[in-house]
Amino acid sequence: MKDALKIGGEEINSRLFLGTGKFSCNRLIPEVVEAAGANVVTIALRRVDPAYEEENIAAYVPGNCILMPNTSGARDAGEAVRIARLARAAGCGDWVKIEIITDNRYLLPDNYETVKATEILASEGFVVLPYMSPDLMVAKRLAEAGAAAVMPLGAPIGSNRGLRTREMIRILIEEITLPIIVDAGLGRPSEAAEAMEMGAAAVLVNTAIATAGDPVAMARAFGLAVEAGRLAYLAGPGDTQEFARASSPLTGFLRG
Amino acid sequence: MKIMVNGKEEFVKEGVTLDEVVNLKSYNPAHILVVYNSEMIRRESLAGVVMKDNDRIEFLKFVGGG
Repeated sequence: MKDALKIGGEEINSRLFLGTGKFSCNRLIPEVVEAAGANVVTIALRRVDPAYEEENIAAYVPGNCILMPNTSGARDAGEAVRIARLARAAGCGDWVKIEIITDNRYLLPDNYETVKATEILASEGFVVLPYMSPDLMVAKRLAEAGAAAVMPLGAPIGSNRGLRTREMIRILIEEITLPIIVDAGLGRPSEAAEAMEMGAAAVLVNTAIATAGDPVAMARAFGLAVEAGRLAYLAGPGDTQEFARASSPLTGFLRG
Repeated sequence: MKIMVNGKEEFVKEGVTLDEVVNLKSYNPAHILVVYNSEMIRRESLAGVVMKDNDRIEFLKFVGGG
């Protein structure tokens, strides 16, 4: 069964998007990408810190992946737009994850500035995937602004707390025709599977894999969970019932 | 003359080129991105850019991120 996700004119074969932050060493990244089966991989742009001689992380991402630079560090739409333009000029392609944050405790995104940045970047031909706090009206504004998908958070970034915003995400999936990609907070494969069973188009996972005891094994576990959840969604789960309903026939009992 | 490097004031000699600034900083051009007055400059073009007073340079790199 062909079930490719289409975003920005691209057919994406894997519904697990992967972040590259927090890995203990860059050399793990190609192996993790392969184990996850990921097609879309996020990276960040930063000023060079003279104290650290680091390699370019993009060199560790397999060539068949779509690089999705994020705008982390941006505090308003203007800064996000600048980062996106620089990343594109550096050869990253047209994809961008908008991430605009001024809240340092929970790292919750600024939905208002995110809509503004989406509008500007979409008009410049970017494939814009905005990270947002799940809110129906904002998701509608993002769709109108030209977003290619909407990426609501499941829980605060890096918290591994799971699908805390489940009800709001369910509403987005129901009401928004764009792909809904659950980004941030998923801590375990079962939570990714749940998001996919609900009808999320994809999930983006970073911390849960990068900080696992065995990141490569966890990447594979997330990949399998995302695939299982998607398959379950397509299969159509049966109804839930308040009381028991026997699975075996209620006739022909061997009694007496 | 004064230039801005990654948001900080620095002083360089007149006529210095962008690749000389990269060398001065001991950066490996293969590992960094150079943005000169908001324009990305390719590695092979660094030597052709002569710095002027109040120019702004950003030395950037891609790092891991989610």
